[in-house]
Amino acid sequence: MSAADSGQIIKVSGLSFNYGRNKILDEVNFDVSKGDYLGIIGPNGSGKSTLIKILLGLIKPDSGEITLFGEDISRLKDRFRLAYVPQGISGTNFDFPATVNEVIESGLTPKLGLFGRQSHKDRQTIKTIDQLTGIEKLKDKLINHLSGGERQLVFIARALVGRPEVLILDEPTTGVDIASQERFYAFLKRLNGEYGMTIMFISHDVEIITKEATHIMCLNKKLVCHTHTKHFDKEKIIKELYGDKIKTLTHSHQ
Amino acid sequence: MLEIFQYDFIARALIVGVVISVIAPLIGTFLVVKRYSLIADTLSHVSLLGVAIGMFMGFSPFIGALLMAVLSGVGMEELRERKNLLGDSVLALFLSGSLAIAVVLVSLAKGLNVNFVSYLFGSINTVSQGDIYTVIILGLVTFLFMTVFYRQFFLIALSEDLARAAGLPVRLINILLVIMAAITVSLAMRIVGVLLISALMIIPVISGLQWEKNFKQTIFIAVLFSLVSVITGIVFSYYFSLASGGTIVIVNLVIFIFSYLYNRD
Repeated sequence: MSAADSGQIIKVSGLSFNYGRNKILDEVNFDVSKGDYLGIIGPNGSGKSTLIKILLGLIKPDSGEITLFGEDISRLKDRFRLAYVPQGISGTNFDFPATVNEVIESGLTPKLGLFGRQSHKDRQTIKTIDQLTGIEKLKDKLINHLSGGERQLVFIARALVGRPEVLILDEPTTGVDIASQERFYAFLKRLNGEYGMTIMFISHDVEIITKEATHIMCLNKKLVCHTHTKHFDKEKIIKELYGDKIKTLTHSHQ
Repeated sequence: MLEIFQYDFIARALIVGVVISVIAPLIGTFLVVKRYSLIADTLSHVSLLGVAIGMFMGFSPFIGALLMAVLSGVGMEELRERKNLLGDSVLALFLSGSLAIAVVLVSLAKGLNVNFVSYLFGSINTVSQGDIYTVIILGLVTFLFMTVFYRQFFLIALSEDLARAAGLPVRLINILLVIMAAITVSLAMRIVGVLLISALMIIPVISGLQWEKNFKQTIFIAVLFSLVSVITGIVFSYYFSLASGGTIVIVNLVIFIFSYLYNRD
């Protein structure tokens, strides 16, 4: 039975990456199963974003093996099976004169290729996602007229229209107000619970991860922990990640 | 009716003008949103070097301009991608370098100056029957290419990170866009003149952007403005004996000012 058949959709072994002389990731091993909702935490420069970029094929690791859906990462053709929402939608051109509808439809580009046309199923998916994210009323607005929270939802909707199996988000609520964050995480929980979507997201907020996710991964160049959030020893791991001087305070995001 | 249309050279200029009016803003829209407007200017100066080389070596200046623009376009994109040089500085390097070599070549070959000046500012008298076939064929190829790759260009312009994560060959598609821009610059050279080509690729687009429509509508508006400016410019340049390139750009500027003032908050 292959890894993918057993429900294991991401398998990473001995992953290392150096940027010049700086070690960014050092012998990282972990796996993600179908339906996991994984929050990744770690100090700045701990390799979180690099790890995600490697999984997306944006950068090549120096060593290690990565298997996605049972196939070696270099041989994976259907990249749309993983959808990505970058940090603060970084590198995105917000002066771009495009409407919400055009941005969402661009999520189908890898699936449609050069000559493909939107199918009935594609149009239905777009409609369902518009309803789920609550962005129906924004469809004809230009993206540069939206608030940070609205943009974030638009780019998540864009990521979902290709019907991915894994959704990867890099610090998804940066610059988003508290009320919008609440709605946003409620939406992710619904995607994971009702639709069984595997979700991986980076956050600096350990409270959010322990409250929302099923699993937590702690990274500081090396893998510090990867466990179910129920078994997560917050005090111990935070000290290991950030040092003794850090005290944890609990908040409820209200 | 209108005596202007009885003359073959005007008809030829109009045909070439219409083809360029459609493809210049089509490519220009992607250059503007990628903040790469200066590339059109750089390619036009590189084309000028191609014209000078063609004249100096005794082959078609158009072929010289096309080859130089395409080769330099690919070279600039390579340098930009490798990040040894910042985007703008690469353009400045090619722009000033090619202009310097062109000027030296022209001064070496005395007697070329008169022809050379017609390429600088454009002239509706110089469009030959052969030019028409070249412009229609290359214009059609560029149009089809931009239409087929529209979705890919859109995603790359929106976010290169998202495009790479989706598995698109971003570098290759960027190079193809620059090649299309280089072809357009070479085609537009005869009518608008090398020094004013970039205006035809950029001004209709920024006029179109003032209307705050969706991306496809913005391209459509830019093409419409471009068509109006080129046809009006050619007709005016005939009746008032004006330089065609300058007249076309002035009409474009008037459209921009109107668009800006009409849509001001």
